[in-house]
Amino acid sequence: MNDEPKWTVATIDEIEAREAWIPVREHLGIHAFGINAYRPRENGEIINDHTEEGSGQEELYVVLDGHATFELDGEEVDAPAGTLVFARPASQRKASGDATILVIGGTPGEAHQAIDWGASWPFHRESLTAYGEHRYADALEAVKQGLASNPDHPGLNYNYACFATLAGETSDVTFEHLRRAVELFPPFRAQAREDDDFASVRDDERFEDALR
Amino acid sequence: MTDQEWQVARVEDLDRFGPNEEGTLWRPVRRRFDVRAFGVNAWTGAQPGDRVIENHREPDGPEELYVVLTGRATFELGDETRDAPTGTLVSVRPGTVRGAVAAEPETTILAVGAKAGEVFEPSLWEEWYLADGYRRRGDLDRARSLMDDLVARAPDVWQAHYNRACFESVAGNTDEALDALRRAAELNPEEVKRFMATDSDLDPIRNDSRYAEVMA
Repeated sequence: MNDEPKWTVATIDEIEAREAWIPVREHLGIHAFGINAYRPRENGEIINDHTEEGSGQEELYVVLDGHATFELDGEEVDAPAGTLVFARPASQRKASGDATILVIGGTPGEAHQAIDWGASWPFHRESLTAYGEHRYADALEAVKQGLASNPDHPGLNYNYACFATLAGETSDVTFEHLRRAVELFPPFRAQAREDDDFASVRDDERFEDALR
Repeated sequence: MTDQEWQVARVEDLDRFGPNEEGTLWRPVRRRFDVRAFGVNAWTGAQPGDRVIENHREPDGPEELYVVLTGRATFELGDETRDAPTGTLVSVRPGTVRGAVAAEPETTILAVGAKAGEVFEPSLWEEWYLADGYRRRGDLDRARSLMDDLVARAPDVWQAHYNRACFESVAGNTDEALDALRRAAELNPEEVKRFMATDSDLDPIRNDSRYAEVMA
């Protein structure tokens, strides 16, 4: 921690975007709360339709520039620059328009934990693209490439287990990656129990062993 | 306090408490939404030269992120100054001295903070700022009720009693002010004496003979 700068100044434009996602927290080296910014995708969506019931996170959205429209539990809310939207976990929310939205998040009663993607991001992105297109073997291959240079990345270890399971590769190696992921990042334990990617191995005793 | 699933506010609609002596307006955000996972407040300097962020450090360890929401600020970071137009993000590690002054009218900065690796607990200073804000507005009943809550919540925290002493001193209640000051000094004599020496809030009671007893 001692080699970290005492302060960092940045504008959103100076932070390298990962498609529509601008990794503010990772760029600024923040560990105490979640903070990221989002810009519109090609279809105009800025914040995808979701709740935070899984994570239990409260989220504060700040419209930094431009003009967005939120939909909050079915109600449309006009949100020009300078609008603050606070959402508790159960609230169904999404946003679209032409705007930059900063999102600050954390779970009450829990210390914040987050994963830095850093140099693993290109492999992660490639694997997510393949995953989205149900090409699970390709997704697994991208994760394997990422793990070659960063074997202790918690997210890559977790996704190895997901994609391998979906690709039908359920050898002990798959569960070893899941065990390692939970060891590196304990919130994965609860996430794995809810994760549909593991539906086919939920009753496999090696699955519960990996989560111990 | 509210359990509403979602709430919306515009920066310009946030409540304004102050200004204090340096021109700073406090715009409560965490309390407005009852955020429980991290600290978040906005601060405004209405005129160029007004202070937006007090010059301070956070020795106890919260990481802080400042976001310039409107106007333009000049940040003081350690020994350096940085121009910060709307949209600038400034992340500051604990222990680093930081502050910001408005360079344009209506400069508002959002401050977000929490301690890494720890569960967030709302800080008592918000209660004190709110009580002080109501006192400055002349709403003494509301201010006193908040001070009572603060002391009840933190009976062993010297700052709670010290702030109450300041409050009662300014409100002209010498006996109550001295009682609170005595209690604060019992809890932390060194810090209380250090603050007492220069705190103008205590000027109204400084010439009371009992004041010297607390200082002794």
